[in-house]
Amino acid sequence: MNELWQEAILDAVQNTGKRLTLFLPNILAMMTLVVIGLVAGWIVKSLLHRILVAVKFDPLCERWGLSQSLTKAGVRRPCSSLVGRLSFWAVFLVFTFMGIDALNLPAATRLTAGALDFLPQLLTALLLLWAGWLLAIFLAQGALIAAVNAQLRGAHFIATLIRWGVLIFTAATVLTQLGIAKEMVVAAFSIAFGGVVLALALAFGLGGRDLARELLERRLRNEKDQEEKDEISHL
Amino acid sequence: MEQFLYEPVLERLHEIRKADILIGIPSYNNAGTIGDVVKTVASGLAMYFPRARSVIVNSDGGSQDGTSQVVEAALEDPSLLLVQHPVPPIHKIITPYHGIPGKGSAFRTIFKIAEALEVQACAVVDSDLRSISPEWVDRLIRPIYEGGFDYVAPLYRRHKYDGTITNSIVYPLTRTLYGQQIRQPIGGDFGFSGKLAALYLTKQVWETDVARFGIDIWMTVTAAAERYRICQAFLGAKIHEHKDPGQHLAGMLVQVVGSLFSLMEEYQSVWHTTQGSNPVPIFGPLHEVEVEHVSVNVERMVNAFEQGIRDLLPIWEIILAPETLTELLVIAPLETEEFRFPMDVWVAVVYDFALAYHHRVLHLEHLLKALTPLYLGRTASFVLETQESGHQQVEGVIETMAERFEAMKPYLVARWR
Repeated sequence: MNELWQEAILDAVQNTGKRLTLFLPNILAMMTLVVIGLVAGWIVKSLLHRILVAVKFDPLCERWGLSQSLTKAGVRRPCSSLVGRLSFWAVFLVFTFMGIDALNLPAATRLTAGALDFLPQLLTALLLLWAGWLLAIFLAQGALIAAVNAQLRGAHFIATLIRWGVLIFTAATVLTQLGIAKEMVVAAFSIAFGGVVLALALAFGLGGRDLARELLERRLRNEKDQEEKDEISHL
Repeated sequence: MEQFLYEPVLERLHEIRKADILIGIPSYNNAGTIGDVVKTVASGLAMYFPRARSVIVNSDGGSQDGTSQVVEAALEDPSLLLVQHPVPPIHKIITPYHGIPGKGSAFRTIFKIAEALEVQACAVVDSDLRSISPEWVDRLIRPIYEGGFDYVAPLYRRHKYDGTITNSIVYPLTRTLYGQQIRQPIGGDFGFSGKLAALYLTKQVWETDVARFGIDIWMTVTAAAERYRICQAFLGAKIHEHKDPGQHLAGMLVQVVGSLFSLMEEYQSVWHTTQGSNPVPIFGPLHEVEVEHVSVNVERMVNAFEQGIRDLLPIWEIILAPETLTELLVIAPLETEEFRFPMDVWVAVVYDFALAYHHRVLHLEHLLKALTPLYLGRTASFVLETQESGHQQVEGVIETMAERFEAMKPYLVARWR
């Protein structure tokens, strides 16, 4: 009995040892790839940052209005630094996935393949999110200024409505792109959009009565408006 | 040129071959007024330049009200030439123009024809004028035809509250930047040499706001910055058709102020080194004339400013310097009659907007449109300050403001990188 027990333990230790001996190179390979990813990422980031600074990428981004949009979106880094960081994470993630793959575990292989398949969708979704965010800010800003210049009392409300309309539409598009619960997104979008329309109707009917009256008066009683106008010729 | 002008116009140019004087009349649905304008211009040419070969060009933006037919009929009126001695015929060219709809595109066609006919002196007059007289042709053309000048800016007597963009932004800023005291840089009726018309054609601005309302300021600033000889012609009162004044204020500000700011980029080496300003010679005796009454709704303008303070503060924070913004916040909460927008704060506002335009801190159209409530605030304050003032006193206020613009110019230069 004692011998059997010793043999079982010995077998288990030997088996684990054998497996560890077989698996250890994989772990080492994974760790090496992660370290290489860190170093390569850092090199790519530094190189790219220097090149972008040399070609005066940051002033260009300022001229194109990208820096201002990022600041408004809460990102206060210069564009060159942002691109550098993104490149670091891209390189690091690629090496990390290679490392996970090197473990040769069926689950890990599936995870890596899935993640690599998902990556283009994720990038597209991130781009859509960014474009939607910028569009929401741009349209809301334009609407706010136009409404203030038209002296509409609900200028802020109109701008907020436009911003959230675009953001909701963007969120729905992004989730659809990611393939996350498509049916639920369509339903949620319909509900949210319907909600916005209902809110608009209610706001016009109740809260924004004055604004609605003002808008309709301006549209329908043009002649009244003409009477009140200044005769200043600004030019 | 062959691709720009229409075939019948090219044939007409081939027939005329060469001319001395060209008068351009841009139009868009001006059938009610353009007939008198054309007749007056033709009379002016016959009276003051009887021996010159003259051409009248109507450059039309696709009028639907029979404007072209009215021009045609006006030039064939036998009672037109009132002079006793025989004069060479005045040629006419009536043509639609190419490009972005607007006054600037109409002018481009006029410049092209002037270049093709190698004219010595040109003038352009608005087609909605009700106060034009034959003397205008003499005053706008003679300084160029005989005086050696290249550009004639108009000088009108206007109501004290008329032309507020000119008075509060365009005149003081043009004077400060380019050192010439041109009182009406965007008057609308100008004289210029054939040489200057050829220079205008070389510039690549015809897809910008210059093709619209920006053309007047662009012509004046180009002439001033390129150091052409400039004078002013006193034309009396300017009375013209009012087309929904105030309705497109934000659009006008975008086109006029945007053109002025974009010219600051092009001519920065000129205005950085320009110091002080000089008077510009005036042709024609100055005299008092009756001007039309202008009613102003000050309360509405103050409300526009206050709404700007309420709603546009986050946008103004991006554009204005912190100290300018602080001063703006102090002037906001007052009764309409007590409302005052100090001159120095206004100068700082204009300079901050010019700097924001230069540094592209915001989408440019949004930036320029965000100026509207501030402009209305300053205009309301100007009206309240000068309610009891006569013409001379009001001119004094405008001169003082122009001097403040000049005095504060180092602020602009220092922040311009």
